[in-house]
Amino acid sequence: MTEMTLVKGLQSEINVPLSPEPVWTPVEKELQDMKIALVTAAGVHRKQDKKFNLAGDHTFRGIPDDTPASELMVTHGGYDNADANKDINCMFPLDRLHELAGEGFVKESAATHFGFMGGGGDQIKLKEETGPEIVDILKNEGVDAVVLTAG
Amino acid sequence: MSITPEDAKHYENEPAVLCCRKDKGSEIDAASLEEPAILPDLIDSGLLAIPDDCLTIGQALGTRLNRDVDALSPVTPDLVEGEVASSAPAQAESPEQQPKAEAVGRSDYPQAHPAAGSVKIKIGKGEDIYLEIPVGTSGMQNVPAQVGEEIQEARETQVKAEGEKEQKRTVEERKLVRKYYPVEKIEFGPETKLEGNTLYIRESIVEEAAAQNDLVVSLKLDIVTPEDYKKYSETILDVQPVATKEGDSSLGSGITRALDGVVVLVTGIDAEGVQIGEFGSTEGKPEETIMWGRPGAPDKGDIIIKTEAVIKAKMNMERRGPVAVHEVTDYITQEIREALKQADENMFGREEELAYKRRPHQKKVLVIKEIMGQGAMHDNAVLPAEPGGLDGSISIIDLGNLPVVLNPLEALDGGVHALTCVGPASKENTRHYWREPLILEVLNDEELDLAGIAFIGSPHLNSEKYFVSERLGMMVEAMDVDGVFIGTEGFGNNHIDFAIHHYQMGIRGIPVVGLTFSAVQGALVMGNEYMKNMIELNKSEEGIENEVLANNTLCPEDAIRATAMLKAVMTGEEIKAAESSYNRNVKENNLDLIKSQTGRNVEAVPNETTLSSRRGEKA
Repeated sequence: MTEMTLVKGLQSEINVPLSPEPVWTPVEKELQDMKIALVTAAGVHRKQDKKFNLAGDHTFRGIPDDTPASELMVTHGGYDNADANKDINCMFPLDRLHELAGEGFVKESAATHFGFMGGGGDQIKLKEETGPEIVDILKNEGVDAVVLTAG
Repeated sequence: MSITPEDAKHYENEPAVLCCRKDKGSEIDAASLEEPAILPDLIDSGLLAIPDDCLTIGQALGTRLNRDVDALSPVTPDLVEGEVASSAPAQAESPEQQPKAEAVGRSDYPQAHPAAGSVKIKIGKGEDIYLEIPVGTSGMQNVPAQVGEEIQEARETQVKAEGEKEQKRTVEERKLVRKYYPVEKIEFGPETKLEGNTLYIRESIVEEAAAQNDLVVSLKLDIVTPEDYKKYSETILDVQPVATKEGDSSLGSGITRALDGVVVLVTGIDAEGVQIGEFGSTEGKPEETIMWGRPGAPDKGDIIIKTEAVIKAKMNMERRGPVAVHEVTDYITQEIREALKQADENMFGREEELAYKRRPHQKKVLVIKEIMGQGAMHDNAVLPAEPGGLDGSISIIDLGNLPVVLNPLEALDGGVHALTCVGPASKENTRHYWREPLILEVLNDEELDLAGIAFIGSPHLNSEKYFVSERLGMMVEAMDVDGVFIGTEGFGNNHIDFAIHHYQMGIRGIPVVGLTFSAVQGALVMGNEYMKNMIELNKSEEGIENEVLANNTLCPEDAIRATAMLKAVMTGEEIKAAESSYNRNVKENNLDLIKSQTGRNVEAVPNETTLSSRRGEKA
């Protein structure tokens, strides 16, 4: 075996975080007593709203609870949109949530749901601005729990 | 390497040095002690110094440590409880001081007098033997004749075994010849043909091509010469060589004919004017939106055959939309390929030969290319019938995103048709694989044995990502490689797969070097302890996906750093930990270390700041 050329002192060029544990808030109510909101990173928004910037976007869109599925669309470059275009509920199950509320499985659907585009946005802004802003609105509306979806 | 109780008796006057870390309160037994024969080399290397009050093995045996002590520590009186039997302090004998040796010991081992250093060799069968004998030249001079003969016999057996291995293992060297046909002009005419240095493209083919796919509303074909690089273009989906197999040659072997100085540019929008882009797009003046000269980009001076397709509305981000644009373009390219096949075989200009030879005596490495497999624009197809073509290829998605191994020449011979558009700056186009720097670097490195190129897709679903990664791990385990490279284009979603591929290598103890764009915008959000040998592919000033085509793709300087890093890791060198945030100087320092220690001249490629003009901020 020929000895390999050895270069000493090289340094790794990319910082790698060790994957953090999820942060769970303790559940203090039964599901049937909870108000539930949908929060998606899958780029879902109303057709009338400004589209997300595919090259990175830290903004969010509020989606009123009474928005029909036909008025929703996807702007996200990270996945094949074909299924979402056929039925937005596969990424943003608003109709399904309404059905569950109707059955009493959950108490009610929140007044406002949220969509943003998780692909390549400013991580600091998403963590320090976007997230907290959404949480403030959720809390003001008395939301008990959220269902998160991602693309 | 520790010693046996029998050896300890023989070595009772030698210095007692711990071979491993021992806790406070543990008793020093033979198994705790380092083999005295290798102490001189450790001293010469500066790894060990024996103090004057070092205990002998005879003194140290049976004593208890009064504190935790690290490996390779001489046992001195202050480290042990109670009094020790007094005797002359031990001194490691330097090779020059070794006394005359006598052969003693078990008859089935060649063994010298301990003071001369002992070499234990047991040869089972004459196969796959690698011997590293840690004695200096002067030590060997004092090895008794019997040992010398037996060592010599072991060496001869090793050489013979290697010879047999070479005969058994050598696959006939694979070769691929590229013949480049120069083109100075492209015009439209009644038929597609190559005449001298002029390529004629049949005028009627454009309408015919558009009809090949229902999703295509219209198709245009433009010939873009250097004077027209400033003319507006829609976003670029792909850059492709124009190449075809000659005669009966199949992909990765025989002869490939290619047009020299010509590339195909695939561009398009949907019927509502939305760019067929994924994470940003490159519509605008090509002179501003392309990082010219990158492996996957056009080169300045290339004549560009540009298709511009309009597809039905809202099809841009469904898998079949971008595929439609590629299909209708390839219909035109295939007719040019056929014409190239018919061209006068004496008309080619330069010739290039690529050779692939296995090197079984060297460290075996695998290059893993993580390509996209989520549909939409993230399709990648492998092994087309023609270099860079579409016919005959199979999408990595349709292979379940599972790893598929190509030999390096298959990969370089247009073995990947890239529909991917993971953000233009890090997108590895079809042309990129034609001149893939990491494959070329390792292919031509005499110190490495390149086992192959494994392409693996990045599925959409999390559960599939883990499944696919586990299969990659099992495949690599079965290949018995010594090291792997894992490279990926894009960033974000595929970084999940990228991280778990590293995990699969790491849990198997396989040295791994990863290459990706990360910097500022693509900063990793998940990772594991095995991702400590990383190469940054960013070249943009701001560390972002700057929508300049191919700007942040793998270039020769990245391949050189990655190879140097993997060799270091395989040799047992620790790579220094990365800084906590992106710092471009780390890459610069690594390049400087390589230049100064190897004498290799490595030029870093320019970035977007060298473009003659930059497009304005997008709204």
